[in-house]
Amino acid sequence: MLFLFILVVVIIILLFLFEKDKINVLKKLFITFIISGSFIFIFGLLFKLFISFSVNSINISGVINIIFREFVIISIIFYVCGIISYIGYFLMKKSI
Amino acid sequence: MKKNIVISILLILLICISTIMGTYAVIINVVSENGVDRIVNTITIRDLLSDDNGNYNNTYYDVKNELNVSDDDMDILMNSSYLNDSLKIVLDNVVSYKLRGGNKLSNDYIYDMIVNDVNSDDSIYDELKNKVIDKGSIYRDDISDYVYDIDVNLINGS
Repeated sequence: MLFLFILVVVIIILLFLFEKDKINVLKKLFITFIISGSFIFIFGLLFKLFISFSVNSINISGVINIIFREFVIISIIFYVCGIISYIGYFLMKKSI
Repeated sequence: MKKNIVISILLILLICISTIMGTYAVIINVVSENGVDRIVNTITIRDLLSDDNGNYNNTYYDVKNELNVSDDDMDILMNSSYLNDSLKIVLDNVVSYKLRGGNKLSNDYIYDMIVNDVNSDDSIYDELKNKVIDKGSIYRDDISDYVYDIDVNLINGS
């Protein structure tokens, strides 16, 4: 997990190094976080559907909802990060 | 031009790694001790005896026929807070035993728990209590084996 986090930080630093217009990186991060958040949400939905179709003998809707909620929380965190990036981009662009 | 390609690759990588990181965070959270406890605490007797659509499953009818009771009596047993609390203790122990190692609950312990629960619950009338206790005593020696036969695995397969 720590390795993945460090990798994300390194890639963001590299993006800032390679991109000429540094402010533009924030816009790209916004898109990246929104796409990642959406993927996580879709994974959660697929997980929910897969388990629902696989386990029919007992009622596990309560259990599935707990796990699906985790996916939703993580995707919301990504959306919030994306929105913060976009606000940063918007404010910096406006101030120039 | 070259820079644009590198930036595009970096963005795709970032999306992939962020998605993996987020999904992994969910898995870590769910398989943690706290996550397992939360899951165990949501499972009730009714959940084990019905499907997602609320229809009763074969186990429900097996138990009902074995006890020779009505649907209303089954409702009383499924709604018993004492029995549901004991189910949580048993499930918690099954998960702990399967995933972390530990001691199994003995046949006598589980049977005594059932007897104490039905005796303590005022919503269960005497005839139903006796049926549960009598049938329980017949299967007393198999309760533990039956309960610990439940397949429990972590998502990462350990």
